[in-house]
Amino acid sequence: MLVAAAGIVAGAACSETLSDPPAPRDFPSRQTRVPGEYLVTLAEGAEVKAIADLYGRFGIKQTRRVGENLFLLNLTEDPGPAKVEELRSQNAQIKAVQPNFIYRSSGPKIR
Amino acid sequence: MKTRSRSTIAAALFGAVLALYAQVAAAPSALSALSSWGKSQYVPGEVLVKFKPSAVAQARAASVAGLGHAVLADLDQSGLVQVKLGAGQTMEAALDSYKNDPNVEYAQPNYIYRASVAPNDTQYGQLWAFKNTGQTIANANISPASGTSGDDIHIEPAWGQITDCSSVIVAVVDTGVNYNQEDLAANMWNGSGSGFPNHGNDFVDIDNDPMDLNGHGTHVAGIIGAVGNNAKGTTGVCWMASIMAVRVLDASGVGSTASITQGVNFAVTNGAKVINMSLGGGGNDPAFSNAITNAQNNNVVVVVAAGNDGVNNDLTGNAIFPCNFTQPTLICVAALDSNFALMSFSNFGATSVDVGAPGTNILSTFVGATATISDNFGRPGALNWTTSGGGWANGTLGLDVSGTNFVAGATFSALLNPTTYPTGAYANSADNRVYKTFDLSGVNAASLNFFAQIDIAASDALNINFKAAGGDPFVGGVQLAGGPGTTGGIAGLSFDLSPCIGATCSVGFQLTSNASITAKGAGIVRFRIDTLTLNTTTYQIDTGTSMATPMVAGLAAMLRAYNPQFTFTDTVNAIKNAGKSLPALAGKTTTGKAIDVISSLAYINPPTGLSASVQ
Repeated sequence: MLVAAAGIVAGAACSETLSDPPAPRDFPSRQTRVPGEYLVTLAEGAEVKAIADLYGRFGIKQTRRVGENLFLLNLTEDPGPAKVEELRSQNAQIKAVQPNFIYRSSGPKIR
Repeated sequence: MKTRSRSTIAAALFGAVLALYAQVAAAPSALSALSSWGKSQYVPGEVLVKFKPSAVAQARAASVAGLGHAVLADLDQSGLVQVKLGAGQTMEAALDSYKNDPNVEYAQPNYIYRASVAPNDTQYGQLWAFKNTGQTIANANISPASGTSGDDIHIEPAWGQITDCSSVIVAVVDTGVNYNQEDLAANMWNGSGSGFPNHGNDFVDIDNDPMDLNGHGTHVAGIIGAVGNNAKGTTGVCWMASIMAVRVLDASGVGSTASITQGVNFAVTNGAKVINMSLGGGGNDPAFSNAITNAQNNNVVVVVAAGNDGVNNDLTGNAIFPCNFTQPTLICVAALDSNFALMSFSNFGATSVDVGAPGTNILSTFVGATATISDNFGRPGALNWTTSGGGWANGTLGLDVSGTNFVAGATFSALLNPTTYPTGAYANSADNRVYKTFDLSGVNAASLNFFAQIDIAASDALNINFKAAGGDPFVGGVQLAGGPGTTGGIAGLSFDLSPCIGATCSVGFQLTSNASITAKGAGIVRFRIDTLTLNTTTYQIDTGTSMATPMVAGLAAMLRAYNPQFTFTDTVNAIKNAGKSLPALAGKTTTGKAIDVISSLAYINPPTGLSASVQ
């Protein structure tokens, strides 16, 4: 199982030398996502149960409401964004699904 | 009927005056005054009229009397007179009348001038962004430590007009804010009536305490609104402010779409009219984009950072969000140094990044005292971490020519698996563990930071764990990260270690493999644990587009406080259009400009519904 939270898998190559390195947080931002976590938007009128019906096969750690009709889904096994989207496209109860992307503070550059 | 606000009245005046000056060219002083002060800052019921040299005294008197006006004073020998308007006469009508008088060279409002204002904060002299005298910044963390006098955001003249932005709530969507900091406490949003007694909300730990456990958000907040003129510390763009703390990034400065969208929506729901987001990352993120659209729909200005990778955000693969979202309410900010040059680390983009603002060696409020526990794995002696299963050793690593990959060398003390890393491969059927216990007692937050180059086969794993009780963190410990994969090159990794705070925090690495296929393994250097102990009196210098962004957010708050009727469009226009053109930003931003506070304050949107024309 892959549980890398800070870029072990998706980490990009560093373009800076380490002879005079900034703090680790200053490395180029890596456009990555939280493994196993997806944001699911339900279709109008759909019930939360639809999420479990569609993605329960991967094991659901948690489903938490984070916005109007928007839910954070945490899966035990991560099928990857492509598979998650493929399943969504076959289910009218789920309006949209996307990765839970990672964001980082933009600096400070040097500490 | 729509009420004419101060700004629309001023816009009407501006339109009339613009028409006048377009016709009679010789009025540079008046134009200068307008651009410097603007906005109803004139003596009501008075105008200044400059007669042409050919106009004799009798003709001048007839012009003034014919309009029902009276001369209050001859101001010089060249024909400039101070005129009192008749009762009920408007400034616009008077200026229009004089514009059409063949004896008049120009006419203008009798502007009010106020002295530039500097606050008495004890460290104000270090704030080059507000007043660049070429001063040397103590403890500068990036070159140059001193810059060019005058290369600043021209805020002192604006402080002669307004210092109180507290009518506009500014949300700092970040790592939280130390709302007890001595220079921030008085300027925090009062959310008690809304059920948020701690000045905001926390979408990381999901509670209502947005205390900063990193420092980034507190620094950002101080740039926007550290209390000014209180004989203490620094000042923000706004001396008085209403700062809403919205915690969406954890102690290591990392957050996600889920936390950030909740934070943005919280800010909007609770009345913020400016949102500062000094953060970046993401990808095709409709949830985040929708949150910004929601902010825009609620008339909220959103100011965001360009990023610190030194790249062109416009290029495919370089896009960083939220900067690269395209909502009109967004302002994306690049960082300038104290010579008003674009900093090498600052991202840019002719279509994605809007303006530049000071972002180097910025002194501001900080969250507390930081300390660093560094560890070189016992070098030059034997490895002083506990191991089991073999595989791990200490050693040294160097860098290849590109600086992106480890090679054999002696540049860094390193933790290696296999012992020959970066040559060779780790063992099959391995369970190699290495860990060490650290004393993290008495601190409020901690983060684990190191550089690593990792290459682990798909069927194997490298795990990073901690255990607050000490001992083997792979028995009953908590996983920070793990699994197979590759970092490609060297990556800087950072993890929130706050749950491990205590006297016996053990941190370790575990490499497990099956019976077939191995890969290069891992090299780890510059291992350190950064700790934070909260206090209320610390100030710190930081550098980044993160620091440039709140300069602009503060300006947005000031503009909206000064012009309560301003929409997000008015505010964005005033910031983008009234900046100072810089060669360094030409072709690198949408405007080619650095922000200029007094010019933005004087900026007047082109009037609508008026018939003033340029002749």
